Amino acid sequence: MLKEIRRRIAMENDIEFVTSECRHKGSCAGTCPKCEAEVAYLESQLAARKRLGKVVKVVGLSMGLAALAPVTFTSCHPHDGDMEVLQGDIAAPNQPNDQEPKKLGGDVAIAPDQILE
Amino acid sequence: MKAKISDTSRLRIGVDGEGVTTLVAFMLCPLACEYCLNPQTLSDSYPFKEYTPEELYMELRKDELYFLATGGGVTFGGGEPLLNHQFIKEFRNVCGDQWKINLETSLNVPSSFLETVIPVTDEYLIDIKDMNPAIYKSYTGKDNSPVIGNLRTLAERGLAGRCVIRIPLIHGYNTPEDVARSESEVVALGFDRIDKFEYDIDYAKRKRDLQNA
Repeated sequence: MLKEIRRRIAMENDIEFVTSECRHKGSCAGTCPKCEAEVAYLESQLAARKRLGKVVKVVGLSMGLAALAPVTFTSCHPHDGDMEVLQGDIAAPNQPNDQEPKKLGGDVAIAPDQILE
Repeated sequence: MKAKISDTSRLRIGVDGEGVTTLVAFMLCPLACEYCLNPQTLSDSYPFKEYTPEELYMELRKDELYFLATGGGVTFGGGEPLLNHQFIKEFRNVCGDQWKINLETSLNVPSSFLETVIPVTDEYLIDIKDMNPAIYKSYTGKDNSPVIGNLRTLAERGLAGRCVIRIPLIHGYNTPEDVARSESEVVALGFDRIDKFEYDIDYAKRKRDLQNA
């Protein structure tokens, strides 16, 4: 999902964006070197466009995309579409009020990684 | 101005506010909930970092592209974020208007603390525990009259639509009937975004045990 957001920002601003499959193993919070490098590249390209007086389009480009699922980690290997829902998170509520209480992994905890594995 | 922050969690999607968010967990809380999910925030004896609003902004801005593209931003939790109401107000001055600021709060604070942040807050995620004062006191050790007063304030200001009211089923403390009564009371106050759920007490216990190990 984060990669899709990056791709959309690039597309809307005519930034060449060639992403390659990274070699990061396991869960990625979007903070692996490849993800961070892509964000830094986009920021530098957007800054360059601003310096040239071009309009930069970022705000609201991916509104609604992030509402698809409660996610905190994505996997960027073998493909970024994999998602892991962590215990302790709560989906943004949109269910009708008459539903029975649902059992969730708690509130919005920040948990040490080891008990989430 | 500095605040004690237990931890931050980046790139959260759809879990605590719209869009991509970073959760910032402040230290300390006025409540003493048995199943607290972040017990590491309850005492200064646990590790924390101190930040000025400017320092925190510099750390969080690495995700600004995601915030702006998705309508996300920062969710302040903890601990009780409203204990740091002045810090949050100043953080808004530093980050500007485009980031969303969400609060994950119990609202069990003096009304003046809430007043400070109302102008700078986009969404409130409010865990009311239970509206019954006896149940609330049994579970948290505190009186819930400040919670109810602050809920009234938010409703009277026309801010109910920006609030998600979380009503947990708490093993050993309340029942589904109590949850339904609490829901009726907050709906009567004007709130209609209700999130009912059940605390996973095994998770909370495991986390607390790990914290104490």
